Amino acid sequence: MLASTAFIIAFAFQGIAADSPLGAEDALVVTEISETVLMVEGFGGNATVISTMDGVFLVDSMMQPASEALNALIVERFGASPRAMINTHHHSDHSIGNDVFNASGTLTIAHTFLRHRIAYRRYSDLSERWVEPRPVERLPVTTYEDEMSLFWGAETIRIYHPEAAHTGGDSVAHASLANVIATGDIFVHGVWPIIDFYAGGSVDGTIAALAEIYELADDETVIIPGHGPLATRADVLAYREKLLEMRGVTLAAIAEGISREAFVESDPFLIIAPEWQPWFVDSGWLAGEFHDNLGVED
Amino acid sequence: MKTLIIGASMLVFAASVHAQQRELTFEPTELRGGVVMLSTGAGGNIAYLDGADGILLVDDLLGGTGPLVEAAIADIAGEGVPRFILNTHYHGDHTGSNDHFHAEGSTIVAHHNIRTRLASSDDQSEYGFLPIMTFGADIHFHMNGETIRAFHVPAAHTDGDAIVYFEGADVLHMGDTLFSGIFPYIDVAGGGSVDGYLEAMEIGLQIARPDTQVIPGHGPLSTREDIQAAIEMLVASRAIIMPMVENGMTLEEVIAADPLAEFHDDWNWGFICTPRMVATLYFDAAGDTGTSPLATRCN
Repeated sequence: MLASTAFIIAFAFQGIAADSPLGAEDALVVTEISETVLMVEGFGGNATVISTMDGVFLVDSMMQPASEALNALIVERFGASPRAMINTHHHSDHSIGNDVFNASGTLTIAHTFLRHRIAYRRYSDLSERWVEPRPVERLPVTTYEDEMSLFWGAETIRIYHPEAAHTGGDSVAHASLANVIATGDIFVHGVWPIIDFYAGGSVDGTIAALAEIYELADDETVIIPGHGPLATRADVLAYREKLLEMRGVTLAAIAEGISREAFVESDPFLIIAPEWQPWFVDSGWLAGEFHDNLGVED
Repeated sequence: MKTLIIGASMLVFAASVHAQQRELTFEPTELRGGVVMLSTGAGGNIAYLDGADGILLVDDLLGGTGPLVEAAIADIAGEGVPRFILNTHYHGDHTGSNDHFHAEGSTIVAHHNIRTRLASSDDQSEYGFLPIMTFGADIHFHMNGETIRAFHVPAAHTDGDAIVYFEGADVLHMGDTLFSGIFPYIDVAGGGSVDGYLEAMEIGLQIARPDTQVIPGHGPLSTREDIQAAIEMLVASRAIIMPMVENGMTLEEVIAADPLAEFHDDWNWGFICTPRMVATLYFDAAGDTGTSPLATRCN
């Protein structure tokens, strides 16, 4: 069992909808994994905070107003804004708060695809409209293609890019000393997963990335998912097995010539993971996306 | 940034370097896009870009020169502590001020193998010398309106070389994969190789256009023609020496035959004199990666 304590930091915010699937807009839920490692839940994806002799390393920047509150929490607790931050992928709930950290002198890092995806005007086939680039204040300063490492005091944080997983620009962060892996949305805990096929994600890449995360971890490793509570590598394995089963069901249906529509109608994934909660997406959505992705001829 | 009068603005600092009194003269050359090359004649050429997003510095000279480098940059840019320092390789004439700038808050960035080599070195193994951010294939910085790409070229001058390209400015810092107009030092004991060295220069050629400003690790500001000339010299020299090694000649016999006489006048210099260039190619052809060409006497 993971030894950790959680507390809630409320902050005043006159916001929009109170019940967002992305979490409370007016509070951060802080889980203390150790004196130097925090998981922070709030408006947006989970953030991971690791404090070292050479500064604080942050995974993901959340969404305003949580981003400001997250920065303030780190300053109050560790004495300075993060020295560096990695975006696990380009989705707004993990990266739109980058401006807060760029303005604080944080070295913002991401995979090259991520920056490319948000730095240029592009046509979205999904929403059938032009999407404007994000302002430079929200772009990462540093990008990498394959892998990189931070050697900060006694901590070593390896950042690597699993190909075509949740998106085409994912990063996973593995802190060896803290024994923590932040997975981004390659692994979400307790909700139906999203695989962003429109931005380079894939079923097979996700399954491969989950295997790699499992292999990197040991039984004591704290796995911080993109959304949901703390996990262990056993949770990652169980999650992967469900995705594998869904993949098998989808491939069988495609082989039988079952159409996407009929496949979604039969809701074949629900029985595989009845405990996963619907949020932005549900079992039927995922079944349709699997059918699309796995039905593509090589 | 202040306007520079190219070549005319000489910054002179006196300081103790390696425990002896020494004077360094920083000669700044303003390149395109606001990139500034600083040459001292002692240690590798360094270059920096400054702006609202901070200073990015490529290489940081000899041990003990940190305050001088900082002052030289500050004299032009107004502020002298870089946000990032990229090390092009591990040698002490390119990483000597890492400790100074680490203590000042700079983030030292380098290929993985630079950290490994420094960590096992005699005089630069202290924590501050070690890069705290390392990369494998490449790393890019998007700052001050510029895109700076550093990418690893394997087994070239050492096993941890990076070539740095300022994309918008079209300025290419080759590190020590280019000794411009002088015989190159290929540190085979440090993981370099003649093949990899040639490959690195070929990559430099692929990037460089006719107008690209090329900063060599050592030597004056250059162009792609200088890379081309260095490749031609090295290929020709290797073609001369390789059959001599295959014929079983000893190093002494090869040196005595003066096989690189045609290149001597143009390429010979104090550090890699002609006999050392011969030795470099001799050991490479013989598959001897354990003997340094620097063990060969120059006369």
